[in-house]
Amino acid sequence: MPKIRVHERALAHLSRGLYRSPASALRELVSNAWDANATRVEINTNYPKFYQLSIQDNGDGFTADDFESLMSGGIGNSQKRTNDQPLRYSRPTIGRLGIGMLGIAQICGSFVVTSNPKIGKPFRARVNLYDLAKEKMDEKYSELVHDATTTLEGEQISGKIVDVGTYDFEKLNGETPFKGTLIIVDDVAPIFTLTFQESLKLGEFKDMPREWRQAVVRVLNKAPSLQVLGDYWRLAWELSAACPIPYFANDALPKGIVRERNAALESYNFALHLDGRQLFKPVLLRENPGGYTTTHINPGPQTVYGKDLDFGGYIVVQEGLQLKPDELRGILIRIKNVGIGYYDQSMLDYRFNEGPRTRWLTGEVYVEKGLEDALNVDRDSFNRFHPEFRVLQTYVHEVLRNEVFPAVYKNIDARSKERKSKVATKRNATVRSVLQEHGNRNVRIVRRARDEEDEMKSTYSSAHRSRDTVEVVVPNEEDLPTGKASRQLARAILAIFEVALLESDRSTQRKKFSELLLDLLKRW
Amino acid sequence: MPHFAFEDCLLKHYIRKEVWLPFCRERLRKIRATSSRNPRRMRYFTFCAVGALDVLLLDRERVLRRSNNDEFDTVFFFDKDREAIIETQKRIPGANGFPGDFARVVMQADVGDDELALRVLTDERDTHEVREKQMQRAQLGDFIESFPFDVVNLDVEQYLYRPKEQLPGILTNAIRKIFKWQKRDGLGSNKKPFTLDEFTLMFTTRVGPADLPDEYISYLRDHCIEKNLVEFQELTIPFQKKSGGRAPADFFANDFDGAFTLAVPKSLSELALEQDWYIDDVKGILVFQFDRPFADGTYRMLHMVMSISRQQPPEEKRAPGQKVQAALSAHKNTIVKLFEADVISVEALVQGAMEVALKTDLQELFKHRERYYKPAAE
Repeated sequence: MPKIRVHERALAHLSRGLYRSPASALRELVSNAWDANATRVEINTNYPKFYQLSIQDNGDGFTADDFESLMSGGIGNSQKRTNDQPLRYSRPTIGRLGIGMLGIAQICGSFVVTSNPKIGKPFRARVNLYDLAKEKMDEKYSELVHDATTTLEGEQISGKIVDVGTYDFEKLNGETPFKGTLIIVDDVAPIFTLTFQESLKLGEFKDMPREWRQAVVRVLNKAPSLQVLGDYWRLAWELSAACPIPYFANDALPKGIVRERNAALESYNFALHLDGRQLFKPVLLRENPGGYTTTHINPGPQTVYGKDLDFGGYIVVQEGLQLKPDELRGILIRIKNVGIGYYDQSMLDYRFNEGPRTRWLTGEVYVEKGLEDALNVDRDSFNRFHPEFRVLQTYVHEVLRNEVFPAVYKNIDARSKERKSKVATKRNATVRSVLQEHGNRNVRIVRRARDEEDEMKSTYSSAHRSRDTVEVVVPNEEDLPTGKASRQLARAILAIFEVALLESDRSTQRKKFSELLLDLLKRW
Repeated sequence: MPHFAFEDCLLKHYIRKEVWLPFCRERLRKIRATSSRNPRRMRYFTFCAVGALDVLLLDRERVLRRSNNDEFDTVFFFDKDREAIIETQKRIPGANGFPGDFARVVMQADVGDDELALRVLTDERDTHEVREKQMQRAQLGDFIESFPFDVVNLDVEQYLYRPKEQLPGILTNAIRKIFKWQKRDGLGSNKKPFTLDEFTLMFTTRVGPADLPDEYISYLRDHCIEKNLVEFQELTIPFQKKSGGRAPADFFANDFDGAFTLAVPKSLSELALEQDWYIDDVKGILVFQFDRPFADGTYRMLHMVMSISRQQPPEEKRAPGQKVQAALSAHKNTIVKLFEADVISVEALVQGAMEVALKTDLQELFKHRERYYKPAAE
């Protein structure tokens, strides 16, 4: 039977254009640092100039042999580290596609890797990627592609390797002031620098506070969208959202819904810094006047076509108030704690129109087992027709349809009633206060008892004065045959009308009514 | 020989604390005097090295003020070592770091302003060479836009004159450009435009090299010493005292360091005058020196500090050929002071109580630095 094959040219092209944003490429390097047992990763953007970019970790580092092997065919061929030694702090291994280090090529033409491994000697290497690589691949294909044999799960397999650049290697003998790996991207694409520099000049740009918490509270939680804040804010936000770092605190989200998750993240002892500020997940939902509805996602382990799938998470609805920034709304799927793409505002293609309520909703799904096969090659999105994705999607949609939105509607109803009652109380107080200020020391406003027999009568009002007290009987709002919005005002006007009628003659009544009406409308 | 611990050097810290700091304080006082309400913050250019101790000292002493956002946004620095840029920015967050070779960036061929701005190119391919050229020009454009600075600290740690460079050398020409760009209109941290009438220059260089080519020696000897001796009779006696009664040529031949430390500050004064500035003659140029251990022995550092004023009226308001007498007179006085004063040897000052005080102060400064960045423990 003839076989269907994919040309390696297509795969080689990936080395120069895999990720959607610089944050996605950096996220891969952060994941590498996690897998290398680093406890601290520092990203420096050379803010506010952006002439270079660097990422440094204090992890295990590469040995020279590791690096050379990676550069001579290992990229794109690295196996997940499931057979390696377990990671420190009981971290789950993120694993990688293997393009990780080259992913940064998206924004540069060359970079320098310096590594001081825990075992072995330090080295420095400059990686130079070919200019105009895609064209070169198309034009000088035969010069760039070679046969190769690699080992996959103990089995020798033949394949092709593609030259994508060169590197200069230098063994370091002197002191290297750090343990771990440092990647400096110095040949940054001018457009990257230009875009980031320009984003600092946007009208809505705000200086980023030194404390990330302040950045979230003072700026992000008030910004309609990251777009208006510009690329530097977007980079910080995307990194903090996607990387396996803790929340600000166990109670960063309402009702302690991420308490256990945060405790686990903190136990991994992994800190990410951007230009000197430690990042935490950019979610801090508190003090919403309308409160929050929280729902756990917890279906338990499942099997899909013989493969394990295990996920959990939460959905939080900020009742009655749009989430800010807008990028926070939707559902973010994480595999081994790493965010895949962004918060999905379609809520994994949720099929029902819930109107503006979807703008109140944010959630995260942590996938502990499975779903990796559903990842697209950019690691930023999923194949939505993959059975594992489908199972997760169906479960989340059921939770949304059967638990989250019914609870939201119930809360809307309760809030609406409460609000109406508050308004009615306030309006009654206004009428009473108007009457009091016009010479009626004690005012009692009572609702007329319903008279089922005589519907017309129930719309009548009346007023009586006895000594220094005026008692005004007003109809029930529901009995007034006006539009809903006018009923409270109609009732108030009837009340002052009845009080005006208590005056002795028509001219005084008219004068009194005018005074009361104008004052009432002024304060309404 | 073990690596010299630059940061622990008390002689250098003396320069920072006892020389640079008072000059910067004075500069700040003058900035504030120009506007009592909402004065702008001081703009500072430096080759601060990774430790950024000069910046942090000025920060601790509240001479350099950070932004409301707690950032060193009025500090600008160059470092050609890319790793050093990263480390420096950790210690002075928000400072404007230029990762490039200062002289190479500054001395690029003159191009139009539009060539200096980053943009999408239409007629060139996206290759390493094109990107490098574009980025270097962009750095130059950004750097020029950053001017003027209230304090320029050219702590270059290298030779001012390098034998392979044609006279007057890249660094001298770079300083020329700095003097030129210092005349630009600036925008203060208070969002108000300003121009500088004066600024502080702190210039550090190594004495030497001993194998300086003849054309440099001739320039220093003839132009920076002999010409003045002919012009100003009152320099004869101080010069004889300084040179031990030698003629300028003998002075260079037999006491190179002594001749060099007299001629180089003098050349700075000439450079300022040429660029429509002059050195304030009240203090003149303060010249300090100390020896630093090195793999092959020691080398001598020369620290010069001065206040520089704009000639008034400025060149664009003067008739062609018209000289500013006040500037010429200050220039002369500065030269006389240079010939009369001894170069101050820092070693002699950093002893006893001063040594103890500097040591304590340096430790406090290290502690102050941890406020911004504390390297993670292994």
